[in-house]
Amino acid sequence: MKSSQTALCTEPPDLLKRFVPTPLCASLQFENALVHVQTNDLSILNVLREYETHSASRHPQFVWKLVRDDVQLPLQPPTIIHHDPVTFASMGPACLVAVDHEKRELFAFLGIAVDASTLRFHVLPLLHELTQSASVRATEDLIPDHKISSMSTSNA
Amino acid sequence: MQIHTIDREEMPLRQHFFVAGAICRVSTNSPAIMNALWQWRCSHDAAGVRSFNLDVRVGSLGDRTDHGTPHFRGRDHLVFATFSDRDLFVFDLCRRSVVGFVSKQTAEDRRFWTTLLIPIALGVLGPAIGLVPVHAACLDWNGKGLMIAGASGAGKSTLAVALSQRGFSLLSDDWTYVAQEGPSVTAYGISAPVKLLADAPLFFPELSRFEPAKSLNGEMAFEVDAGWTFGSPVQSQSNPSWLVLLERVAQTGCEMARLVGDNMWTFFERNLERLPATLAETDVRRSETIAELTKKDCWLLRYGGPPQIAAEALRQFCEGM
Repeated sequence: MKSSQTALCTEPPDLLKRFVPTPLCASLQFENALVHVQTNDLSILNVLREYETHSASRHPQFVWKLVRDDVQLPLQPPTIIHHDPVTFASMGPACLVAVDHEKRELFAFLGIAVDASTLRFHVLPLLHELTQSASVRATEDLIPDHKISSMSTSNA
Repeated sequence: MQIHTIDREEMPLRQHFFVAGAICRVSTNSPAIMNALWQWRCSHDAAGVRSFNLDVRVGSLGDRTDHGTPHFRGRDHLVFATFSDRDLFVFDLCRRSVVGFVSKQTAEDRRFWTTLLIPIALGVLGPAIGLVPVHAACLDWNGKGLMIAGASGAGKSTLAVALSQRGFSLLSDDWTYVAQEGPSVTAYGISAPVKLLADAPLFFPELSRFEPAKSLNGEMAFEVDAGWTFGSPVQSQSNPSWLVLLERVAQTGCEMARLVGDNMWTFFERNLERLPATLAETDVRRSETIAELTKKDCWLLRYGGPPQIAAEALRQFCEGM
């Protein structure tokens, strides 16, 4: 009896895009925060270059991993959820962001709808603000009695 | 920037559920979600048992306006899932938690929780809590577990249903959750619907009263309750004794041959979700569980034609052991 299909299949595809390499790097300065960015897309890097700093002497406070995704869906209004110690934001499958406050990491998957203009004027401010919020929350954790009034949070 | 906060301590409803050998600690503001999961409720949180948190808030953003295809992305220890424009989940493998923000419609959709979210949560978080999802059907024959592995389309589900009509109890038809418990390995199912492809009524006339529908992966399929549709006995756990690797052939017939455990190990390992380097310890524990499982009696089953042929051969095999 001849086999019609092989039972031992090859390595499964990376459906979650968890292992997409992000070899392009830059160090960015946002106000007081030094961010180390890793990405797989030159167009993302080019937009970020205006914030680039070449002072490699300081240890980055945050790491961003920005993955260019092949999702072709449009952006939706942002929904931002905080569940300590992670904040996540969704503008639909075309823009998914998570910030781990403890690990000081931000991950984002940016679809085709996030072009240079959208990245510069809509997504980057969001990433920046999430990073700032994470820093504020981290400070709150360090100094529990300290209340920071500038942050607007609300329960849905 | 408005941030919706999900705080476990502030959720009014909390309950423990026992599903696939793991405690799921749910907190939510939705009675509908509690009702959906009620079949798995348990009264206590036993120390040392595998567990994860599921914190879900029904938001005030309004009803979902689309029923888009589920979308998954992951990086390091975090995995995103969106199911519509109002339903967002994040799975955190380091902290063993699932966080969701959903519409009222989704909260009230019982099938979403029992057939989609919980299996996905077990699949994504399983390795982090010591529960290994393996791509295999599982049945029980007089207290002994029979696991049937095989690539997608090999016929695991049709064979599992045919076996369940021959005295086997069904745990699962596609994904089984395996845990190492002391010296033994236990297999768990979650009573999920069986998924049979559009040609299945040729072998199971019971399906003629149903219409196939688009499934999660886009295939047209019947997704039915095996107990209700076929009268199959269903149970939630078993101790695997036999592992069968299924291979479909064009020619009608059936043959079994002993298989070296290493081959079965290779099949399972190659079908596991890759884990990031940050979860290396989890990866090692998972491989150890697979290694323990594949010490069982392993067989290769090649068959072609109706699933009843292979089911009868397997019944005779198990009866004779």
